[in-house]
Amino acid sequence: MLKRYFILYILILSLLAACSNELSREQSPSQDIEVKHISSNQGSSQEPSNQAKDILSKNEDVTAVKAINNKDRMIIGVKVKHHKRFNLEKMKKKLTKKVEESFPDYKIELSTDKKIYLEIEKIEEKLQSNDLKSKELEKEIDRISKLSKEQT
Amino acid sequence: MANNKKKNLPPQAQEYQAFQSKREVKRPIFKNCLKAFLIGGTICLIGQCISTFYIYYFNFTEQTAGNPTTATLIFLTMLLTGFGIYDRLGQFAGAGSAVPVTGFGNAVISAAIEHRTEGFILGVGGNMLKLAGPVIVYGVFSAFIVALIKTILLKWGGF
Repeated sequence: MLKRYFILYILILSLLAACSNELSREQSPSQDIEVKHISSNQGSSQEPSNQAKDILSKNEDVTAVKAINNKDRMIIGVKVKHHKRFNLEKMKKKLTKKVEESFPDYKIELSTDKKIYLEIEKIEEKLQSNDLKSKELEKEIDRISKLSKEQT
Repeated sequence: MANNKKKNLPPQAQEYQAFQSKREVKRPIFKNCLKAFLIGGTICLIGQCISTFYIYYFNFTEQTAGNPTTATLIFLTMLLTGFGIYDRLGQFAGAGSAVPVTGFGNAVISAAIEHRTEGFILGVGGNMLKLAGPVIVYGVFSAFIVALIKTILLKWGGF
């Protein structure tokens, strides 16, 4: 008997949790996502990254975007809506194409991986506080690029 | 086939089968499914937490975090099987505890524990993969078939 109540309790709990989640989403209508623009005095200007962020944030399915660049490369990390993750590969191609059209001079590396997003976020913070020299930025971009290509 | 077998039985046995099938305790399928769903889901949730932990605190991406997560889950199963906790979980949850990778770990480790009295070579070594061996064989085989179908569809299907 106790077991039955326990199972019932968990069922109700999960149902309620799901409902409350839905409600909170409804209460905050889909707004433009917050894009943090980076300005750094050291190394290359982050203006292209900022523009790329603006372009990507206009896409409905993107929930967050971070980007960094040096002279000729740009690394972008995006978060997409959870139910859109089924088409992650297609989405990635679409978004990469969109950015590439606007920045033909840059080599674009776009990733939907959480780790890449976190790493770019860390570097953005360092850039914002002018803690990163351009050589270090170069190294970091190399490191993230390598990380995103790892398969096993 | 079952019906053919029944027809071959003597009438008394047939009567008995009809008698016992009425009184047989029915399997609570819905309840079992629910238990399997909850426990299996909880195991997967733990796996997801471990995976997220590796992504946040170590140099793993979503792509590569799967390997250490599997290893950690199997290690935890090893401990739980050794302490006799996983057996009880298996009794309660059934397929919910067998389908995730922890079930595979349990199959290997419980066989190793069971046969340890027969020695390390012929006992533990020989019997460790008794149940897990077929899983590996058919897993690899079915992966091969699926990859073959995918390749054919992609190359000639024009998708």
